[in-house]
Amino acid sequence: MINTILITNWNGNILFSKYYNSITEEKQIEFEKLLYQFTKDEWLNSKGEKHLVTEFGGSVTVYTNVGDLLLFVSGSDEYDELALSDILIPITDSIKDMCKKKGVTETHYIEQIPKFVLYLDEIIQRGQLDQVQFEIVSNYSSLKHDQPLKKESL
Amino acid sequence: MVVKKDDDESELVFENLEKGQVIQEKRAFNETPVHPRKCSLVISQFLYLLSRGDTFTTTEATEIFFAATKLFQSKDIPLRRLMWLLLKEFSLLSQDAIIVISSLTKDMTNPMSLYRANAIRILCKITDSFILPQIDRYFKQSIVEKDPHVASSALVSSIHLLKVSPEIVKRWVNEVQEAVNNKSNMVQYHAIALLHRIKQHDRLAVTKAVSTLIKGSIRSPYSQAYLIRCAVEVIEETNTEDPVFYDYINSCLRSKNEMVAYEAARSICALKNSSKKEITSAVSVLQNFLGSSKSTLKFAAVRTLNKLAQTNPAAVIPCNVDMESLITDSNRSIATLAITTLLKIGNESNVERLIKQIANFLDDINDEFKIVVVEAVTLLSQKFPKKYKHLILFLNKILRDEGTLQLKQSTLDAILTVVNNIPESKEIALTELCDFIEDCEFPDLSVQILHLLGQEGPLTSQPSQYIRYIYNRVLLDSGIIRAAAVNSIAKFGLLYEPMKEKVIILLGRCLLDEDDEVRDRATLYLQLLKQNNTRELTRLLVDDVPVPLVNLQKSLEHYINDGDFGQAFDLGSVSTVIESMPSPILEGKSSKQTSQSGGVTPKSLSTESNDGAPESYSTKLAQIPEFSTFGKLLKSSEIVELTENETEYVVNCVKHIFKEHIVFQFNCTNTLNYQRLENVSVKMIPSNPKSVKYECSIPIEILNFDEIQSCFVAIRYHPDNLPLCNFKNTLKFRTKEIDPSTGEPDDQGYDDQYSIEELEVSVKDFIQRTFVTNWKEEFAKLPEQEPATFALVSVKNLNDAVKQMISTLGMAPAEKSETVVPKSNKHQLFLSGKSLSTGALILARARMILDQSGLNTDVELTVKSDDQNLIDLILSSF
Repeated sequence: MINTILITNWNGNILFSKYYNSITEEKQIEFEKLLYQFTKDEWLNSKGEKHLVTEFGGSVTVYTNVGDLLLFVSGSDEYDELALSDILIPITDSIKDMCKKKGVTETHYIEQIPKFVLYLDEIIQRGQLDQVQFEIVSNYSSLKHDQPLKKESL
Repeated sequence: MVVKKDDDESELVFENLEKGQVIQEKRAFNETPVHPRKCSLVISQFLYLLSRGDTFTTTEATEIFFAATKLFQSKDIPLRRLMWLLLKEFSLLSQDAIIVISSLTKDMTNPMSLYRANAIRILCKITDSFILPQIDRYFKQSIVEKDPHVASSALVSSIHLLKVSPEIVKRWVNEVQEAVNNKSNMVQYHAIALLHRIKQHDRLAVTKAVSTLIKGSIRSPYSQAYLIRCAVEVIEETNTEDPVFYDYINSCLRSKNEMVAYEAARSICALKNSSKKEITSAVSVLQNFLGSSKSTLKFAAVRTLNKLAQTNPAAVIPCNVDMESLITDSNRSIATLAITTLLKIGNESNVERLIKQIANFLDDINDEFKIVVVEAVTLLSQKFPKKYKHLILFLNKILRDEGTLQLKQSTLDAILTVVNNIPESKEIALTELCDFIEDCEFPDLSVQILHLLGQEGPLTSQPSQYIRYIYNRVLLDSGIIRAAAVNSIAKFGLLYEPMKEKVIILLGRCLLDEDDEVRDRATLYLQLLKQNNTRELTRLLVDDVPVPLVNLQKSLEHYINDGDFGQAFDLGSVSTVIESMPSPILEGKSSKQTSQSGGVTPKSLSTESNDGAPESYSTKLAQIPEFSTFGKLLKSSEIVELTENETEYVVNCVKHIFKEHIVFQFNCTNTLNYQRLENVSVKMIPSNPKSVKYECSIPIEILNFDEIQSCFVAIRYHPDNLPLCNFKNTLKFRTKEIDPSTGEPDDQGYDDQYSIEELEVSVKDFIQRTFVTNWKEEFAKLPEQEPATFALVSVKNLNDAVKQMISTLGMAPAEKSETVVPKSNKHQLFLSGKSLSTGALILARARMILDQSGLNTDVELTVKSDDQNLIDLILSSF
């Protein structure tokens, strides 16, 4: 299954995490620590949406960079490096799409997390791949309020 | 509505969001008419909190869930979309989520596909086996819908439902079959995946379905890759000769889609019966991928080749050049895998060049990957023992470069392995290590190296060359290292006679050391050396501590805390069993993972999990009031497995011997996730009821899935009449099904039992391993006994015979007699132990010889003790 999606900034601070394999918090921290150790030195190489890969503890992780963010997707069994790489594409496109006005910055991404959750909900269902084509994903999520929601507007 | 124009100055919506405040804001859901924007914002905030990792209590979740159900009235699509998502996220946290089923079924009749697709996803999450039959028509309908959104949602949901209500989902097989023909690629993929899972346990049905699908027109890459996996499964499980499956995989090898071609190549490499020709074409596909610009493709290829290299290194050799160019790949996981693969297929002639090449790139690799490389190089030492010089120099370079303690420890371990496997490498390794400790930043490593120098140095051709390095530590390092160095120096004095005088001078210089431990050690060794007390020195410096150090530490702490120093501390009272209870299930899982990961497994995973020091048995048992009158725990046995590791309930047992009682501790694991066990106990029937009296039984109250707990049975016996007999055991319990939607068990449950293997109480349970300093002297002192002779049937080598003797008698080997001289056909084993009840010493000598047929081992066993009764019992165990 697709085990985990993590999104971090360049310092490695986690901005978004989703564990489909519902492992304990301890294991999550252990996983995050190992992921950091195994990939940190190569983050710069992932610029320009290049997909890099690493493997440890029985699961494969594919990661890439978009704007100010680093995206990590890890999986096991049928979700091997090639499938994960494929799945990373609509995820990257979703982020670019929802941040298209101001560019993919950390703050702008955080503002759009609920929208991201909607997109992701169409891409992955409880660890199973649902849709992989961005056009379809974006259609299905169809959320029309596309300017960010503001407190003052209430 | 006032919208600020300047975005930069506007307050961010989610910064400093507080859970309590958002929960308050959910009242917006109750307003009529519904304000879509306002509610959307509140839902967004909840979703943000969840993604940030905030947790909600059941009460909170239930309140939020119920408040959100009010939004079913709204026709605002974006709001509805958010509401569905919120309901889905909270459905498992909330109680009584089932309440929304009627609203959802109403959505199922909505003409907009968006409604149906989302409703079905939530339905799948909140339904259970009781409700599913009432709504299963919605699933059937949705699966065959033309609209891909709805069909995909229904199919993916059903894959999950299969775990909850397999029987009902299986009835949808015709609909799923129909969905395979859906025009959408993804629907087709999901339908195939579900179809395969539905039929999974019926080999014949899978075979039939897969061969039909193969002949059909499946075109989408995900579906094809999935079908290849199914074909492999059929081939492996049925050993079919039917060419249709092989042909399909081979045809996919030529696919233009990389995912499909790779999957085919990987499968061919993994299948046992692939022909040489097939493997060659698979490898050439992978070789092509090695030159790809995509890291993931390169990684996939090299990972598969790495696995193939384990079983069929020759097949991988054509890729040698391509893989060498990957050593410098900037994606280090690829580089590391390439290196380990190359090392696996390396041969005598190129391994040297390879190691040099790798050494050049070491600086670019981080420590985690270096550990993997170090492990691969260690394996080489077994394959090419003649290359030890290059291996040691390579490892030494890693040891000296910058690095973490973890890396250096792995490297030092690797050097020790090489030294142990290849005696010729000893001298060069010691010289290099001497250099290393001159400038070593980790005291732990220095201590280990000093220990090694003391152990091996005196036995080399020129022992004197090491002493300078060791004495330098005394002059330059911290107390802990100086103490280790003193030990090391003393060993030279003991083991290498010509240096004894020099050692005495050096130790004399340590007498004024500022550290107490260093002074104490120096004084002790100096005295013993001057008295020429070789026996005591050997005991102190050379003999290993005969018990696990963790146990020794605990027993000593116990001894000191007790404050009763009337009796000297008895090493024999320290348990030799490592008291830990690793979960057999978890162990099984982790070992599986290791094998899958093809070599890249970080050490830290296994080392960190061992942190929790096991609580000692005696402390645990003492806390149970029923056993408080039994007195001191005399001995705990090793763990005896009473089931296979993969059964529904895994049970093992530890026997605790007291003066007049035995407590059987049954460690039980429930491996069924849909069951909860209650009142779990073991019923034991002795084969010799007269020798034992039932005392009490303590059941496990509740045993949840994946939990290990212990139940106990206590019996009483008379020390003069040991209860040597077998026990037939049955696990008894009340089982309750767990409702997967709520996680709660059903009310009733039923009683059940489960047979587990027999358990034997034998004489060894009443013998304590013990250690005598001079076995031969002690043996001569005891009264003469007639030896018994017998044969160990079908024990074909002496090592096994030694192991069997030790385990049957439960005694400790003495005089290092447990090591058999290689290739010899006879051996003498010396054992020592003592009676648990009387403390009488027992010594046993076993003379073993392989019989003429070479199939059995003849044994002549002499047992000596002051306790004649015990001798008879021991002899009777053969």
